[in-house]
Amino acid sequence: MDIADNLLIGLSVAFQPHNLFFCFLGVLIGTLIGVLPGLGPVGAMSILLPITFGISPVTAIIMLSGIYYGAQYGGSTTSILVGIPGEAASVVTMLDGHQMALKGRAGPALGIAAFGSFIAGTIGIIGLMLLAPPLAKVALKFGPPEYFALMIMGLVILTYLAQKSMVKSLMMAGVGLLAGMVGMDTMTGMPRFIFDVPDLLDGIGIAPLAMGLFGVSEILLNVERKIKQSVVVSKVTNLLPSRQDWKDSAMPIARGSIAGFFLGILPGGGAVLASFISYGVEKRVSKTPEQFGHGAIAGVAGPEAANNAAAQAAFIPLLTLGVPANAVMGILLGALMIHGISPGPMMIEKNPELFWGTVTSMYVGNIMLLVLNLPLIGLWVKLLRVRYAVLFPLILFIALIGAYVINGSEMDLYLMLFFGVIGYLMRKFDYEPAPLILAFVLTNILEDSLRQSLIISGGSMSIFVTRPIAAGFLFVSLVLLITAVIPSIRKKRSALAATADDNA
Amino acid sequence: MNAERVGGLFWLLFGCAAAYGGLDLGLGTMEEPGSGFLTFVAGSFVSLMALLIVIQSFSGDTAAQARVSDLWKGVMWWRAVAISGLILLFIVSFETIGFFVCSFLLLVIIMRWLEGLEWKMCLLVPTIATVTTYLVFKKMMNISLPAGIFGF
Amino acid sequence: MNIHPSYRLGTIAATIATSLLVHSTAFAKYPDKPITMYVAFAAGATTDLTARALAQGAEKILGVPIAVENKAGGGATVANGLLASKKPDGYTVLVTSTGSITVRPLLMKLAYKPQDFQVLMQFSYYIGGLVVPADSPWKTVDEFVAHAKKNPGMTYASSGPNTQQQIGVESFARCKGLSFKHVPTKGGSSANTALMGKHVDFIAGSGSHIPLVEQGAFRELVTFHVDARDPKRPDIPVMKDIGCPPTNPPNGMIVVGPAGLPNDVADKLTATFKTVSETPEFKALLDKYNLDYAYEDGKSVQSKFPAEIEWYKKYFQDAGVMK
Repeated sequence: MDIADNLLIGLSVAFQPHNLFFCFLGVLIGTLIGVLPGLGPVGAMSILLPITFGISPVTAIIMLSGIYYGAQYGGSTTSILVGIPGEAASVVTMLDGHQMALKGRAGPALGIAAFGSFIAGTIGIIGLMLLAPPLAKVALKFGPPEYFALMIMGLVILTYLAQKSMVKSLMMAGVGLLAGMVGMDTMTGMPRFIFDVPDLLDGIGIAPLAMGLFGVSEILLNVERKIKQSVVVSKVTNLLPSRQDWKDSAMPIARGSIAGFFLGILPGGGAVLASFISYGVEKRVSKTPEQFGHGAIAGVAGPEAANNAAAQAAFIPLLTLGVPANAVMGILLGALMIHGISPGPMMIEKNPELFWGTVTSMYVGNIMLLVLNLPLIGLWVKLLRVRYAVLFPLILFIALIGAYVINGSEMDLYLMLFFGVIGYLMRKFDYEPAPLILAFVLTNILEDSLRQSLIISGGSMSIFVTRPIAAGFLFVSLVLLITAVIPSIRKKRSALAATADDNA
Repeated sequence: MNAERVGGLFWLLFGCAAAYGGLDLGLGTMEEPGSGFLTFVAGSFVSLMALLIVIQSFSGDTAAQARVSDLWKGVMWWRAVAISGLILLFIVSFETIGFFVCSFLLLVIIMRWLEGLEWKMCLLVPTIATVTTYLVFKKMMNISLPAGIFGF
Repeated sequence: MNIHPSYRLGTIAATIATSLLVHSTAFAKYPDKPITMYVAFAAGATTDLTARALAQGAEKILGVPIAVENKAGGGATVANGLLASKKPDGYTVLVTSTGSITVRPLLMKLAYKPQDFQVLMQFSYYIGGLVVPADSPWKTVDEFVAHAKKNPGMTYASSGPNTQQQIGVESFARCKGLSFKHVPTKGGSSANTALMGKHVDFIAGSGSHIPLVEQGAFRELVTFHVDARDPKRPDIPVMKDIGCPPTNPPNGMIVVGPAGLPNDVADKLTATFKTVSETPEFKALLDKYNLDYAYEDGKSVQSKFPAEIEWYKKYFQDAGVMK
């Protein structure tokens, strides 16, 4: 069968010693980069790009890809352990993951994150292998109206994340939208709200924003209290997920992988949207939704699976069509071109060993990552036992480095501090930061696709309902919105009825 | 003052400012929505929500609601201020004095002054931290962090 | 304490002589410490890789390490602003685009003006073209124009508003009396994706479309910004061929330093980069990215700036973008 032949080609490439070596190097560097909050795979790949000049294109791509999906594994580690999400995709993992760590369950959290990522990665690779070209065609059908509808659905799902006051969470989402508008407006090329600071022309960075809003603010809140002995409040229990944990995580991992895979294909769509759609879905179908936000393992398993599957799927547009789905893929594109490979629809046919070699080495890479990360869990958990008084300055130090090296810009540090203070105040006044960040991530695509759609349609809103995919997402959003609101209406009604009975 | 009300009023102000900013940028037309269109919508939405919060703060058991001063009662808030101040100082000076020198000082100051740890810890940990990161970043990864007047 | 006048005079003379000596030895020894080359674009981007090649070659000639640092952002404006603030001592250079120096300041308030820079040399330029899907019914630019005349308001995507390529399309439209609807996207790749999905009718190709044309997904109908056909693709006409005046002055890829460099330093840098750019390896690299090798001496490039600024000023005023 065709696939079997191709797999054989791939395996013969992936298992060559130098490819194995560079795969390992890539995932190792990727994990370390991921653990450091702030500096993402883009930064690491650009630094290592010169190394790839001297090696063959397949090896180069294998290493660079390893850095990319390795970083996804590493990112969840810092999110869970110290509550600092290093990039947008780790924010959702942090919501419940860090709570689990605080309750002494860092081991199971990290374990489920690792296993979930592995399973999702594997599913993603299988999908990549079997479905890449047809899926790419579907991805192309997503134009501005479809993206807009998808973002609306994302916003609706955001509301599921709200733990306390719905009004406050919605307002935070609105603030997040506004924060996302700082910078150069894609549509006019003119700057907005940058107050004459040139560093803000590209907008507020998601990393300083997340690191400040969650990480720095938590440090500020902690230092005010009585001196904590250590980060972990209760006794540390097992290091690995229990049977119950597995039972609770199995379906979330499955659902997350599928959601992540399909959303990851969309150029510009991606891991973040997938991770919080997964969170929202899990909270909705869970029998214990009140657990979410306080350490529900499904809230870690699902989003982690989603963002890893999305990372694998992001390769599809590049390898099948020659269009990069995100900045990381852009670097891969450059690396391919410099090796004389012309990316485009014909690339797989002309360079089969490149595509199949890369895909099979992803299997190898995922296994390496699992083997790398699992034993480290014991080490990480021990780290949490260090006295907080010693730990938090170090965390602060790492955050400062991480935020600075993204762009070499002082402004990112100011932003991180600024949002740290804002986050501190917000939490004092009982506002949740998560909806802000998640809305922030959606803003650019939401706004650009809205305006692009209206230009294309000549000002008519009908474009959103005449195109089937867009209409579909909008319909789903409506349903989700109604089903979210009805229970609370019912609750109010029964509450009113109860008081009426009392008074009668 | 009622904490909820103050919070709500702040965001109300913010939302109105944003909505005004949106109007200023221009709403555009339906065929070509302007820069300020979504800004105006989002700003108005934030203002609306904030207004709801302010209104809600008048209902319910106002006596039981927290006051602004309550939020800071019983916590050592000056420590949070101090840390923020130290970080600010760091950011302002590290490009001149050097990243690693500044971080070393920052770590020592936090650990000694704020946390009152023994000198051995206060010097040992920052030294190990700065030296390791220096090696990793400068030597292994060739990422430059500002060297400052001391040259490293 | 009373110092004898002649003693004083002697000291002064000695000081002046020594400083002149030190000064001239400093110049004669340029460069004597590492040079920093900023790149105004993201790592892995076309311009970044060509800049790194320049740096590698120049290192060997100058004998000092050249550290490459990416400072992408704001369409090269962040890096430009950074360089404008550096001392003109020859130890900081920047690889950027002419457009970000001449055109951008006309549109927004930035941390620099064109006069803040001294161009050392240009090694290539960006080209744009009008690109349609390969399976579209228009095989030549004339067929396209005929269709556009009957159907005004065709949509097109570009890598951004007021970019070189988008202005190219508008110049084309003016020449042929057409009107299009511009759908801005973020970057060339997004435009390519939009065209592949047929969400727009055509795009203002910015270079990243060329591999896709070669692979049969797109078709380029006319190339802007140049006066001669690409020898590798002789069947694609240029503006001259279709009876149109040249479009906007193309954006060049240049190496600059802060204004006020000493002459010998500037000359040495220009000569070094020129030598590197003439090597077959460098030209092969440009070829891989489908870029033309277009060396031009820095002074010559800079002398064209006033005319370029005037062209864009008039364009923006006509388009109502500038007051």
